[in-house]
Amino acid sequence: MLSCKHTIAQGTDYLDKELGFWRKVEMKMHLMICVNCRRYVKQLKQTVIMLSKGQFKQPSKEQIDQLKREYKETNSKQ
Amino acid sequence: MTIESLPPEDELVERLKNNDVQLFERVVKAYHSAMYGVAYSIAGQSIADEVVQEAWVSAINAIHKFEGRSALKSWLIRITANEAKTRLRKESRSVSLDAVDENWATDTRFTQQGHWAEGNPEWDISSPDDLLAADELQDCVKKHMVKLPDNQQQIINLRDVGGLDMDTICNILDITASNARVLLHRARDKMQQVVARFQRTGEC
Ligand SMILES: [Zn+2]
Repeated sequence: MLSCKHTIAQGTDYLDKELGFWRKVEMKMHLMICVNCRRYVKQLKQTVIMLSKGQFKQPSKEQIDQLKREYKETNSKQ
Repeated sequence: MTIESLPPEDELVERLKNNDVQLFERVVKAYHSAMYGVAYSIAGQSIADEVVQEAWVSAINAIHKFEGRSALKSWLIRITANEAKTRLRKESRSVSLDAVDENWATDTRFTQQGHWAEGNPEWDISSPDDLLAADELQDCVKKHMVKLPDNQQQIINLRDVGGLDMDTICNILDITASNARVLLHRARDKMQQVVARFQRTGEC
């Protein structure tokens, strides 16, 4: 049986469907009986979704205006 | 804060090619943050803004040639990564890889036998939307993202923030797939721990 420590080390490969058949079976068996690791896998997934949707650095108004000018000028040339 | 939804990809690209300034502004607001993360992790904080600005200008000049073989966001992230790679990181970083490698043996979450020492509690804030709405938590995540070792920070930004596939990332960073997967997991695991600790203690 996989230890919890080894189970969570495979968390990313599990979520990204990169585990081979037997490693996946082994992992699923552990997750069936272990609530802590089950929670971990769920939390890892929530973390990834959070990162994909998070807005950590909004552009400043000046940056946006400058880019809009650049966009307009470039388009008018084409 | 979550990104506002943009039109479907085909329509989006078509309108961008046809001088839709309003839509362009929405695209900038939607993708700027992810591009900044990639620029920061590869080129460093001092020139990250500059790199992103240059990446946008390259994209504006090339949008008419964009054929939609990848998503617009992936295309922008790749332009940013390439722009960043041509610029050298100037500031020195304090994190050493050794400090990270130690974690496996000294990970206090687990007993010697590899069991959870104190279990792993449910999160009070758990849906992605609620996680994103918690400002203090987002500040904390941001603070710890930039503390990751360079290579972990690059991978998590390219993969999870930027949404690139692993093959593309391995090409950009010139690393093997197995190495990339290990680094990605370390970075994600670290961020899971940041969120978990914040939920447990309210501290960053
Ligand atoms: Zn377990």
